[in-house]
Amino acid sequence: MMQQLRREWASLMVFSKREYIIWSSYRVNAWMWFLDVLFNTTIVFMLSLLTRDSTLDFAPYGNNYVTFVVLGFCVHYISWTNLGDPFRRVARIYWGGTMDLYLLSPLSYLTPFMGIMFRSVIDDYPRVILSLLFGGIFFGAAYSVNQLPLGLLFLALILLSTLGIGMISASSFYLLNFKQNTEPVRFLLQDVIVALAAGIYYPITVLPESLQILGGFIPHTYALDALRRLIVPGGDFTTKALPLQHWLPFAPITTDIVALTAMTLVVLPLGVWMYVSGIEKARRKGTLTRWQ
Amino acid sequence: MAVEPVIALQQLVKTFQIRDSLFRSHPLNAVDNVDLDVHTGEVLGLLGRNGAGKTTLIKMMAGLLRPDGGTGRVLGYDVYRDHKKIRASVSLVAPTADVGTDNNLTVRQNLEFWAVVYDLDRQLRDQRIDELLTFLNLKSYEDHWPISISAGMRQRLAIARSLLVHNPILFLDEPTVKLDAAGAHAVREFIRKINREFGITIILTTHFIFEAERLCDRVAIMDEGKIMSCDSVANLRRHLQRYDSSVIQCGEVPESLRREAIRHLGALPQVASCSFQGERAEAAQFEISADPLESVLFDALKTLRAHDIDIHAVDTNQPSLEDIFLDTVNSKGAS
Repeated sequence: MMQQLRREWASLMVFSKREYIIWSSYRVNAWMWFLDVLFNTTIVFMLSLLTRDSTLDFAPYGNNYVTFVVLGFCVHYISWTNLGDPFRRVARIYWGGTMDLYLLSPLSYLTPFMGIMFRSVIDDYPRVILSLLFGGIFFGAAYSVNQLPLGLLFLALILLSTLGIGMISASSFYLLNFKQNTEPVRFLLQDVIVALAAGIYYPITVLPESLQILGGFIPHTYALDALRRLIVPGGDFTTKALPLQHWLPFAPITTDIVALTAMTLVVLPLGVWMYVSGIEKARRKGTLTRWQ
Repeated sequence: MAVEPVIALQQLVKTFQIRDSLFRSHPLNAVDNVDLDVHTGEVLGLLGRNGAGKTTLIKMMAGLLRPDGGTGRVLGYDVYRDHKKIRASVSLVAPTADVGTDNNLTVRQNLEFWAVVYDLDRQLRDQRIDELLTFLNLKSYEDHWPISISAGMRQRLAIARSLLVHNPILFLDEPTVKLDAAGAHAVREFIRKINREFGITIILTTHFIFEAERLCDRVAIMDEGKIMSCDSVANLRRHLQRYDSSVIQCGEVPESLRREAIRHLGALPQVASCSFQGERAEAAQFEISADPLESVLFDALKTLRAHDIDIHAVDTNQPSLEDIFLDTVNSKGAS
């Protein structure tokens, strides 16, 4: 068991090293990456100028719009990697023909899957830090760190829950035979529901009730709600904002923890099971990889 | 004591559903009741046309594809239950060297990456990579990008990757298919060397008949998912429904002597037929078909000399593997 874990860990490390070599070998790419984060944060700052003197109500999420949206960006970047990328990465190793070679190793099915995601991890996770830094240094974002451990818990839960959904999305490549550039799970969640109802740029209380309910089915909504209450200065821990918070008799943060944990416990094992089932189906159907 | 085969397949079947339209599909037997034993240290060639089922069979033996029927053991592991153990114990080289080769990493970095993935012991990694780079004449290219070296070298890099861990079985799927003549020749030499020096059992697919003839201890001829024949090239020749023949060119032969010689030649054991062609001295020749030819040729020449016939030249015409392949496929099984 320990030997297996050591082997899987060593392989994850060598995957990450390979992806880092590839990522860093294009210097222009690295510069563009840096500027991209800077410009995104700048756009948020410009938007915040519009709202500075308005009577728009961000309650219960404090009073700093830049912080509000920078946190939205952070969850968006994580989601972009964990939810949006697995399908594309699995497609990459299918069309590149390497899935067979990864399986001809002592590794579990999941390690190559995690390993090939490192390119996005390298690309997207540091954006979270950079966004927070740019927001704080250049554009007046302020962060409350009194509840940092709780904030990190929500960060961990959104990482795991989006990864679970990402694996469900990736499994559709083999399970449902979606062999093109996109598939419905990723499109529906990442491009439609997250974009519209997660509240990355605005509090979802401004949305019609039906969209607020729709937003209640994705983990992003609860992570953003909790992170903003905890980190945006002036965040309110008691005022209920999300539909589920009104329905359950708990404090908002507790509801967020319950909802996110429940989602994680459902989608992560489901994602693992579906991905492994997809590989086994491909072994039966002969669609594991494509040579020539 | 009988030696246990490293691969033993009985009645192995793989069927794919081929979709004709949105609602209709038909089954295709990619591998159809295949029986096959492969022994330690041998080079077995799977010879067949495109779509014959060679790659499907290799993938089932490598644990990458689940059979639909039959039974099989690879290295003692069951092909259904122990597919993970099989996969961890065999190596495979895909038809194109670019599979598994990352052009953003150098030749050496590529091998370093796969050495960890294949769980090569940390202490052995550098040493094994150096050995393989030297063995496959890639040492001077270790810091090159794969894209900057020739296709033949990239194929050698793919072979090096498959040899990082000394697995007892190596599957090579059309290892020379995309190479020029020189590159293909070099790869064939390395395949022979790998088999000789490491004692690795090699199963290779090819549709190059001369490649199978040069490299393989045994050749399995596949067509439409079935193994039509499986034996050494020499035995396949023997089983072929055609006799080896020899043409003996000679000087002018009078009519009476010719009939007499044919009668004597035809009476020799193992001679299937004997004929004479050509009236003019410069074109006169006897043609003898026999099985096996070698055992009768000397007696035939002695018989002709005993009849005072001048022998100018002797030419034997053994069927090539190509003849055997075509004959086997066309007759749906020679043995």
